[in-house]
Amino acid sequence: MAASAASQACSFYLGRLESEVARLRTVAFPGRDKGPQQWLNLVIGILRTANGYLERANNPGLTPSQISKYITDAEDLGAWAYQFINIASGTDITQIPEQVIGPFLRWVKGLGIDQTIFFRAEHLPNYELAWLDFRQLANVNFPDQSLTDAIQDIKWPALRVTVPAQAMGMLPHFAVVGHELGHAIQNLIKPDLSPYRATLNTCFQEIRRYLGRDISADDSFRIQTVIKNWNDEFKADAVGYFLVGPAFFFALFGFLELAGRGYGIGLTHPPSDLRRRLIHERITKGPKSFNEVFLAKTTIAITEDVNSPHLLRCPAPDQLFGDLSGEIGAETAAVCVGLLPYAEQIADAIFAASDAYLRGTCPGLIYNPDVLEFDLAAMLDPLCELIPPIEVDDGGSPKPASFASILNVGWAALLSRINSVSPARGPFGDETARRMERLHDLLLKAVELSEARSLWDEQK
Amino acid sequence: MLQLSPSRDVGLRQTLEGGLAVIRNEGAIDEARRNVTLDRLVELFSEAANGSRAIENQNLLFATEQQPAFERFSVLFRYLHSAFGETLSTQLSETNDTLAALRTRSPTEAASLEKAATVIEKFLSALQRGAAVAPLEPPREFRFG
Repeated sequence: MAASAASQACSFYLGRLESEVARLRTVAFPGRDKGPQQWLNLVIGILRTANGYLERANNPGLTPSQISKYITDAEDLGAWAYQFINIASGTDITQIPEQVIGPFLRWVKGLGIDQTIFFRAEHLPNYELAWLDFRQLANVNFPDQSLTDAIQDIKWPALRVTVPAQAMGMLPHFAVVGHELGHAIQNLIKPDLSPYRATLNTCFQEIRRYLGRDISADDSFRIQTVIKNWNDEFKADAVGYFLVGPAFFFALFGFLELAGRGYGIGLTHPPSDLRRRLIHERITKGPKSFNEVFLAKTTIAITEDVNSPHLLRCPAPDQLFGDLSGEIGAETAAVCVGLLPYAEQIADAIFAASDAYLRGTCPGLIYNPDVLEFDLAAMLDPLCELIPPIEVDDGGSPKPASFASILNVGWAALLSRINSVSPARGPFGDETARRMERLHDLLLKAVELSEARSLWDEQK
Repeated sequence: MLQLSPSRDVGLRQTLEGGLAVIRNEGAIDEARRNVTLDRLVELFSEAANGSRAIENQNLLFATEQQPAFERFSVLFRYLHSAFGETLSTQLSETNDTLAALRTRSPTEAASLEKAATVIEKFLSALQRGAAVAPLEPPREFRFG
């Protein structure tokens, strides 16, 4: 009796989940992004497999234990399906600005990312790339054919890029998506870090000093995790920088100024001030640096804290260890602080390897000071006259402005010319806010129309 | 990586149960299913054994250089470290060897089979315990402090 009641309840739940998926299929997903529909196919496959288990539970001759196993496995699959629907929430056009999906997908294609990917917005101050690897769903007993087909249709690991929704979904900040896509290719960037192993030994001494004991298996595990995670963050920063230039610098640290001014250091990330310094060094170096070009056109120097003056700089190591211990535990604090010298040393190698990788695979995506100089000369003044930066004329026929170009011109206007932009009408925000809203709308329009122009050209 | 807890991984549990059935020669399991089950288990335990050896040898770039193996090891470390302690590396290695021998139908000693079965049973128990003790969603409270 109880098993029958459980089976009926599960059957009802699975039916409602199928109904929910059917409703989701009717919403519009932006751009040419197939990812959300492929994900929903996976959910349907899970549900049909679960229904199969409930049918098997009715087979004659089963023991009570075998019946229960089919029912509980069906219940667990139902729970998976419910979570999987949540994974794809925020992907429809009511949540994420559809204008940006096309340019994002151009970056995806340009970087050679061929996995299933989808973009979504979440009402949180967070940008992230999530890896979704559920190929082991194929390991379940008696999978429905729809599940097998859905698993094969997805190119694993699937990727989900999250941007902030609504108020914090500011177009100039979307340069940070370049960093997130950097995570998608991080395993293809292979810097040679062997010259720095000696530094690691010095770091281990410091870690032992902070711990007050020798390094245990747990500590080794933690050290591995931090080294890997920090490497990956440096790689992603490098890709973001090479894809979008100073706009990435302004976006990432402008976002952190608003949403996370702390040290940033922990198991998953190196210190924010270190990341800022590393990118800033590159913005200001070279025979013709981004900073020189930007200064010449805007009269604004790109200082390290130009739009993130309140981002905290880490204190001396011993104080940092003390500050962190209370929050993340002494063991983790010891590893993070102890590894700082190693992080400083490997950053150059990681940036160099990222540069080499991108030059070898997608050189056309790299944003350089010459392009910035051209973009500012062609589009900054018109933008301040409310002409969106849709296309540029380089002496040949006009061509659509790239997403990186629009973002950089947008930041130049934001940081140096905002008072030249007439304010948007509306009851919200002060005059500066309404000028920025006007600029935001112009940039969004530029993204939309340059993408339309690109599609038109590609179909000719 | 967005993961569901391994304790909720239906496929993992079914694979481990299938592996036990193969080791103990229990129930009717067809050849194809037998081979698929053993292939999955060999992949799981060989990568985990590699990860364990790397940790023991303090190869601190292992996680960066061999992410899948590191992640496999992480799962088994989480669920089996308390049961096997410092012998975990050996246990994983020996289990892998036994499963690989079963896969190729090479001769295997009864003692080796029993040891492999014990490792898999402890893993299953740990997964079931993980599912059992997983707390319900706590009431949420939004405030500073």
